[in-house]
Order: sequence, then C-alpha cells, then structure tokens
Amino acid sequence: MSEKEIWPWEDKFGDYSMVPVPTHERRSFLSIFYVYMGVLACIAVLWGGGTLGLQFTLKEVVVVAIVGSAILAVIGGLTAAIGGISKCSTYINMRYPFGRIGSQLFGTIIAGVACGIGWFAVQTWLFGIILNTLFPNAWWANVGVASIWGGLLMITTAIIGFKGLAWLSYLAVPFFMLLAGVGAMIGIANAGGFAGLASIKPANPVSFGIGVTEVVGMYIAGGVITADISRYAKKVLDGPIAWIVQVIIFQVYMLSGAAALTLATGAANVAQALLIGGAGLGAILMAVLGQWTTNDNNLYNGALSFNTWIPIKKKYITLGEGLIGVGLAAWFGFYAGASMQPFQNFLTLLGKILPAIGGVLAADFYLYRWYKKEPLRQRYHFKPGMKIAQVNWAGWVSVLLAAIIGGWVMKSGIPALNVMILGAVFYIVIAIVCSGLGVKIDIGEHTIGKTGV
Amino acid sequence: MEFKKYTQISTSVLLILSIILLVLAGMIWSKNIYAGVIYLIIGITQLISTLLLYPRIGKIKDITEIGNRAVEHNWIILSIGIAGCALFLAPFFKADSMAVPFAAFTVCLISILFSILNIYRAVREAKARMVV
Repeated sequence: MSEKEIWPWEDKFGDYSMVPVPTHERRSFLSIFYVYMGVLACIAVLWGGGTLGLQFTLKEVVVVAIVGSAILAVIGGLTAAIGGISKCSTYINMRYPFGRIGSQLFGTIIAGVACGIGWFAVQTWLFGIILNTLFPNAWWANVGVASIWGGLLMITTAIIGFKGLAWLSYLAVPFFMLLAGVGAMIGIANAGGFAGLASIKPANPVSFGIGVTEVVGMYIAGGVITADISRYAKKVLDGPIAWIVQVIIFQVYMLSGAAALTLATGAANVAQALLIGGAGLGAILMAVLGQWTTNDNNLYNGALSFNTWIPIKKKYITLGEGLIGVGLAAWFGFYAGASMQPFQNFLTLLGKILPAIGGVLAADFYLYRWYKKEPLRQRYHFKPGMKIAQVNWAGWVSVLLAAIIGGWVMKSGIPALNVMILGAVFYIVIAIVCSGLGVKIDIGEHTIGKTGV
Repeated sequence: MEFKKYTQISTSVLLILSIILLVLAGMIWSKNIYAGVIYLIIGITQLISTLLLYPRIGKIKDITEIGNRAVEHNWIILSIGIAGCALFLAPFFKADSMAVPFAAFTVCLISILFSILNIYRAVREAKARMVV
C-alpha cells in the first residue's frame, strides 16, 4: 500500500502548511535546488556583492565570500536535513524545542511579522526604488506605483504556494545567474581586462571579519528556515545538498560577479550599473525578477508561520499579509520619502533572534534527541493523536539568553553566528541538566488533530 | 506521433539551435570577447541541457516519466532562451554589424517557442508535472 493511501492527515489549510508533505507530492532535487536558488537570486545579494566590491580587492572578495558561504552552508544544511526527515515546516518542527505555544509565538514574530509583513514590505518598496532609479521619469516607475504592481505580482506566486515559487524560480534562476556573469563581463571590459580588474584597490577597505559578517548576515535568516522548502524533497539529503551547492558555488559566484562590476564602475547599485554598462532589457528584468523570486518566498514563509494559529486556508493568509505589506510599501513610497531606515532597524532587531531559534532547533534535533537515544529518522515524527508540550521553557530561555548575550553583549565575532551557537549551547546544557536532575522542561499538553492543529 | 519520438525530434532541433549559437559565439569572439563569453555560456548551457535529455529518457518506458524529464530540461532551455533574447540586442553585445546579435536573438526566440511547446505537450499528452 502506498503512503498516499495510508497518509493519516487532512490538509485543511492547503500547501501542507500544518502537516507532513505526503510522498506523492514530493519533488525532485532540481525543484528544491531551484526554489532555494530563487531566494538567493535577488538584488539584495548583488548589492551585498557590490558592497564587498567597495571594501575588498577581487581576490579578497572571493575568499570572504567562500568563508561566509561555508558557514551558511553548515547552518542551512543542518536545518534542511531536519525538514527532509520530518517533512514539516520550520514552525511545526519548532513544536519540539519550544512547545506548541512557543512555535506559534516565535514563528509569528520571526517569520510572520519579520518576513511575511516586514521584509516583504521593505523588499517591495526597494523594488519601487530600483524601478524609479532605472526610469526616473516614467509614471509606472514612481516608487509608490511600482511598489503596488510589483507587490501584487509577488503575491500571486506566493498564493499558488510551492508550485508558484518553483515555476517562477525555473524561469528566473538560470536567467539571473547569467546576468551575474554579464555583470562580471561588463566589469572586466570596463577595467580593461581581468588583470586590470584584479589590481583595482577598494574605495573603503575593511577587515576580513567584517566582510565575513556581512556575507553571513545577508542570508542567515534563509539558512534557519530551509526546512520550509526541504520538506518537499523526495530524499532526505536532497535539501541539504541543494542548499550547500547553491550557497557554496552560486552565492560566491554572484557576490564575486557583482563585486567585479562595482570595482570597475564604482557603483554599488548593480541594476543601474548594468543598465549603464549596456545590459539593456537584462537590467530591467534583473530588477523585476530578482525582487520577485525572493519576496514571494518571504510571503510564503510568513504565511506558513501564521497558519500555526490562524485556522484558515493559507492562501487567504498570504493574500492578507501581502496586501498589508504592499500597503506599507506604497505608503512609504508615496508619502514617506526614500527612507524606511527606522522600520528596517526594527526588522534587523527581530533578525537577531532568528539565528538563536536555528541553534536551539539544531541542538534539540541533533544533540538532545541523540542523547535521548532516538534514531535519527524517527526524530520529529509527527502523528495525529500524539501529545506535544504547550511550552518547552528550555527553548524559550535559551533563545532569549542567546539573543541578548550574542546580539548585544558580545562585541567580537560574527553576531549572527554567536547568537546561533549560544542558543544551541544554552539549550543542550539546560535540557541535559534538567533531564539528569529529573526536572521537566515541558509544561502542559496538547493533542495534535488530523489537520495538524 | 508517439510522445517519446516527438521529444527526441524536438530535442534534436534544440540541439541544432544550440550549435548555431556556438558558431555565432565563435563569430563574435574576435570582435567583442566579453560578449563572446556570454554567447558561449548560453550556447553551452543549451547544448548540455539538450544533450543530457537523450540518455535520461533513453531506456524509460513510462510516458509520464519521459514527460517529467522533458519538462525539467525545457524549463532550463526556456529560461536561458529568455535571457538570450533580453541580452543579445543590448548595447554591450553590439558588434560591427548587428547581423550576429540579430541571428542569436532569433535562435533564442525559436528555442523559447520550442521549449514552451515541449512543456505544454509534456503536461497535456504525457500528464507530466510542470513542477517536477
């Protein structure tokens, strides 16, 4: 009998947001890889590369990008494997180390408010800014107007769900990779050859550590929530491998390409540099597709987390949060001028908690469950009727301590990495000590129903 | 026509188009080496995408699985084709004459149309999934 026939769940809210993805809905390595690449293929990464181009020589950029990407590969690889085993989203997996209420609370703050509404609004507004930079005199490229139509485009693929993200990524990702290559070529051509480019000194040199911090910080949020996509993978290792390949090979390639362009032209705005460099329609499509493929993922991840406590179809949640985000972006575009800095600072603040959640999740899955002698493939195995804790206080305490100490008190190292490692260490110490002393870390009890609620 | 046969024939057409792109890359190389590199990348990507499809469907009997694999490869061809169309007529890719860029643009346009048709037929006739 196939798993489809004995699958004991009911997907009441759509896109398997609350339940494990069944066998017949699982996707190939290529699909998983493309969706991850869709997140990576964004203007923000190219701007990140552009910033590196102002701080390092080309050779240094490559080294910084490789080291930063290697750290991200480890973090994302670990969390992607959890999704590959449990077949559930990050916010459902979080029920183990945080309890049901903890998964709702932390998931909503971090993915729902921060990604689904906050970053979605910022990226939509940024889309308007980029279009306005490219076409300063066109009415449809007014920051507010472009934010509205751009945001609505992004909502459409997010509403369709995983399939929508995949279609768009299939179309946009190879194209985007090629454009990064075009950027590098324009950079080399402008510098009068590769030797010329390699010899250019950066405008504002910084230390190696700061560069690595920038690379890690740029994508750490994506690295923590990789399970949202890897849960669809046919094989457990498809998700981690897809993540590692895209980060180690393609992120390094994109950062280096953008840095080459910036080194040669001195402009950190990659879309504008491409247009000036003669990429024509390619620069415009890069701006549109780059923001679109990333921002629909923001919305998608946000809706998954909201769905843990709002019991309606996921597509309505996606629409609702999307419209709020578009409204915010348009409001800033029309009335608030060109700066969303205070809002972005608030989101960055929230972002300091996210790596701690990843650390706690990884520590619970790989270390605490190993300590409890649970076989790897049996961990986070959700079933209808099983009981879970309402609150796991060890997870809550670990996240708060790690975020405060790693995010604000510690002044050295890479903040995102500090927070993540501290979260893992605090959790494993508290959980094992409590286990040894016979102190319960679980409070309350909840029975999971057929719909995953 | 049997779907497998159709896939093989359409893939052969796409293979010829990718070889034409490589020839055009050779022609543009001496005039604008940086544009030539991009021509080469597009041509090689199209060539690999089409070449690999032959062995991947070679021994398969299940028509849906053939369709799924055809869909995978044709998405790549479609995306790279769009990139080619968007780029080849841009100022950076200009050579002495516009004949080569126009020829490359046309080849990419045909690749786009073929790949869309291939995906459509795979989904409709072979019941393949658009997201594989």
